[in-house]
Amino acid sequence: MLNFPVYALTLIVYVVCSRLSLAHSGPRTSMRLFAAGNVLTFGWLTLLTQVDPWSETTIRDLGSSAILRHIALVGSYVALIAFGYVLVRRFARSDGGASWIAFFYPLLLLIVFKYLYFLWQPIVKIANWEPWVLGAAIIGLSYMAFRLSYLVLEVRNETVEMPTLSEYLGFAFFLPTMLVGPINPFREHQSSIRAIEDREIPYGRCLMRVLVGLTKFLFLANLANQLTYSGIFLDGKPHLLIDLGIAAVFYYFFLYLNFSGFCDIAIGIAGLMGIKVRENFNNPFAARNVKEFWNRWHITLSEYTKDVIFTPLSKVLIGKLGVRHANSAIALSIFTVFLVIGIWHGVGWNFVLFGLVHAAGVVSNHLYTVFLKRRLGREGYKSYNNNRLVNAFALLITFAYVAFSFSVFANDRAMMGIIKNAIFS
Amino acid sequence: MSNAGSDKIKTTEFVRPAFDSYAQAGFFLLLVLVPLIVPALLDRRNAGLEKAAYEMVPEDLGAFSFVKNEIFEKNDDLDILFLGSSVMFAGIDAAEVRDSLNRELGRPAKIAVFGHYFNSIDVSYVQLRDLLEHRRVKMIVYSIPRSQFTEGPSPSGVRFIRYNDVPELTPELPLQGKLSLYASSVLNLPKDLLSLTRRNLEPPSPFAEDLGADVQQMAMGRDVGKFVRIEPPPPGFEASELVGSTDDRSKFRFSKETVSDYQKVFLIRLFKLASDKKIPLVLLNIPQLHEKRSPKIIGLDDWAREYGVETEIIGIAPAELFEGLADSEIEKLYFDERHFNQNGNEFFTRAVLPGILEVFRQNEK
Repeated sequence: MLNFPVYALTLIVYVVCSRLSLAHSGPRTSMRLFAAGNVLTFGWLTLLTQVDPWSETTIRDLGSSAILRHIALVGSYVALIAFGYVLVRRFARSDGGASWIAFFYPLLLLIVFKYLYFLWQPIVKIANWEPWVLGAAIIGLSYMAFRLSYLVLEVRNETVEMPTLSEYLGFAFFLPTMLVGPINPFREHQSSIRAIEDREIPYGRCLMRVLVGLTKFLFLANLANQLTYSGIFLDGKPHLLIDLGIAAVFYYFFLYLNFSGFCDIAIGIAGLMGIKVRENFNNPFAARNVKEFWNRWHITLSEYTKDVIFTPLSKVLIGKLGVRHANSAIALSIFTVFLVIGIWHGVGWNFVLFGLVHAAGVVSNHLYTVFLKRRLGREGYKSYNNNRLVNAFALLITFAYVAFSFSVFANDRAMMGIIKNAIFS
Repeated sequence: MSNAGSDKIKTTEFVRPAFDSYAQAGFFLLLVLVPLIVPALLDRRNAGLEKAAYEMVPEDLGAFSFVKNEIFEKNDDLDILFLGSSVMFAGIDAAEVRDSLNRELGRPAKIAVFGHYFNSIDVSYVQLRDLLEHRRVKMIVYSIPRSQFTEGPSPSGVRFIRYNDVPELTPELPLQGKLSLYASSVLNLPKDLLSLTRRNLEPPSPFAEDLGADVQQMAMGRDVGKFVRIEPPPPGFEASELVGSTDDRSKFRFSKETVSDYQKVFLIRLFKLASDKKIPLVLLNIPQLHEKRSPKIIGLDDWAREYGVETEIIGIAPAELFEGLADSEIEKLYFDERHFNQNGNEFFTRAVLPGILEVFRQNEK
C-alpha cells in the first residue's frame, strides 16, 4: 500500500516520457528512447517489488548487494532477450528449418526459467538468495516468450519489416502488455508506432478504458474474490455443497474481472501512448460452447495457438492420416493446443487437467456440430442454432462447464483437500 | 478454432470504447454503485444476521463460534467474563478459575473467555455489548491490549464489524476510521448477502473445552516441536498483594503508548457499558516477556485517571512474579514476546487467582 503512490507516479512518468519519445522526429532516436524507457522502468518496477522506497534502511542500502544483484539480474535478462534479436536477424528469414532456432529461443528461455526451475536452485542456494529473487527479475517472460516467438513468424512471413534492436527491445519490454498480455502481435505494435504522427489519439476513450479497468481490477474483482474458493473455504468451517457452486461461479467472475480489468488498463495506457493493443475479451459469458468461449476469452492466446500450433499441426496430421481421418486429426490438434495452454498457465498437474478439460469441451463441440450437420442438414442445423431455447440452454451449460473447469485451475491438491473436508466431513 | 462468435470485435478500431452501449454502461455503473450503497442500508441486526456476524469470522481469527454460543445459545448468568484480545485469550486458564470458584461458591461456576487474535478493542466492545443484551454478567476481567493499534478497524474487526453494527458510536469515530469501517463493510458485503441467502454451518468450537481460552490449540503458528513443558511452582501471593488501584503510584509505570483515536472510542464505550449496567470491571495486567525483571507493573496508560473510571487492577510486578526463575525458565513460559504458552498460562493464572477470587468475593457482597 505504501508503494502505491510510487507505482502511480512511475506509471504517469512512464506514459508521458514514452509518448514524448515516440513523438520525437528522428525514428532511430525515438525508438532508442522508447526501448530504454521501457527497460529502465521495468527494472525500477521489479525493484519496487523487493524494496520499500520510503524506508530509511532502503535509502541506506542504496548500492548495497541486493540492489546491485537486481541490476545484474535484470541486465542479464535484457542480454538474453537481446541475444534473441541476434537470432532473429541471423535465422528468421533463412531457408530450411533454421528459422525455428529463432522461433524456439524465447520458448526455450521460458521452459528453462519457468519449468526447469530446479536447474537454478543450486545457484540460488549457493548465492544465498531468497527463493523469489530470480522470479522477480524475469517477470513477464511467459507472455514475452509467446510474443517474441510469434514475431519470428511475422518476420519470416514478411508481414512485418525486420525490426531494429531498439524496436525489438521496445516491443519485448513493452510494459503495458508484459505482465498479463494481451499477446499483441508485432505487426500491430510496429504499424501503430509508425503511424503515430498521422493518428489523433482518443485520450478520453483511452482514459475511460483505464478507469473501467482499474474499477474491475481493484474493486469488483476484490468483491468477487470474497466468494471464490479461497474466500469461502479457507475459514476453517464446514460448508454446504451449494457453496461449491457459488465458489465456482464467483471464481469465474473474479478471473474475468481481474484479467479483463488488467487488459483494459493495458489497452488504455498503450492507447495513450499511441500504440494499438489487441482486445483480449469479448463478453465470454455470452459463449454458447467451449469453442466459442475461447474466441471470447483470452482471444490473443487463442489466435497465437491457432496460428502456431493448431493450423500447422492439423494440416500435417490430415496430410499424414488422410482426409477421411480429418476429424481425428482435428481432435488431436485441439488436444495438443489445450495441453500447451494448460501447461503455459502454470506448473502443476491441475493446469494440465484444466487444458484437457477444455480440449474435451472443444472436441465434443466439434464432433457434436459434425453430427448435427449430418443429421439435420444445412437448413435444419441453421434453425437449430437459431432456436432461443437451445441457445439459452447452451449458454447455461457453457457457463457451468467453464466455471467448473476453473476449479482445477484455481485449486491445487491441498486446496481441493480443504474443500472436500469442509463439505463432506 | 475459427471465430464462431456472432458479434466479432471490430479489429480496425484503434481503441474500443469501454462500453458498447448505454445499457452496458448503465449495468456496469449499477454493479459499482450497489456494493457502495448497500452497506449504508444493511443493518445486520435487523436483517436477522446477528448470529451470522459471528459465524462469518474465520476460525483462525479467534473463538468467535464459542462466543456466539455463549451469547445466543445460553441464558444463565455468567459469574466471570474474561475479556480481551490474544494476550488474554492465551493468558488465562479459565478451567482453573472455574474449579476454584466452584469450590468457593459450592455450585458450578459459569466462566467464559472472550478472546481473539490481534490487538483490538472494537471486537471486545461488540462482543460485550451483544453478551449483555442476552445474559447477565457478575464480573468482567478485562485485559487492555497494549500495542500495535490501527487507525481504523482491527484486523479481526475488519472481518467482524460492519458500519451499521455500532450505530451508538459511529458519530464519535474519527473520519478516517469511519471510512475504513465503511470500506470493510463494502468488502464484506458479498459474504453478508451470502449469509442472507443460505445458512452458515458451525463446527463445534475447538475452544469450548477450555471455556473460550486458547490453551491447547498451540495456535498462532506456535512450533509444537519447540514447546518444552515445565511446571514451576506458582508463587503464593496474597490477594492484597495482587489487587490495587493506580492510586498507588509506586507500584506502576506507564509506558505512555497511545491507543489510536478509533480504538479509544470503543475503549471508552466499553468502560461506560459496564458502568451503565453496574457490572464491576476489573483490569488484569498480563506482563510481557521483556518486562520480566521490572520491579513495577507496566501498563499502557492510567486508564482510571484518564477516563475517570473507578476500577481495580489485578497485577503483580514481573520481578516478583518471576522471582526465583532463571531467564531461560521464564522464556519457556512464553510463546512469543507478548503471549503466554500453556506453561505460562497455568503459572500466571495460579499466581493471580487469589486476586480474582477476592475481587469476585467483594463484589458478591
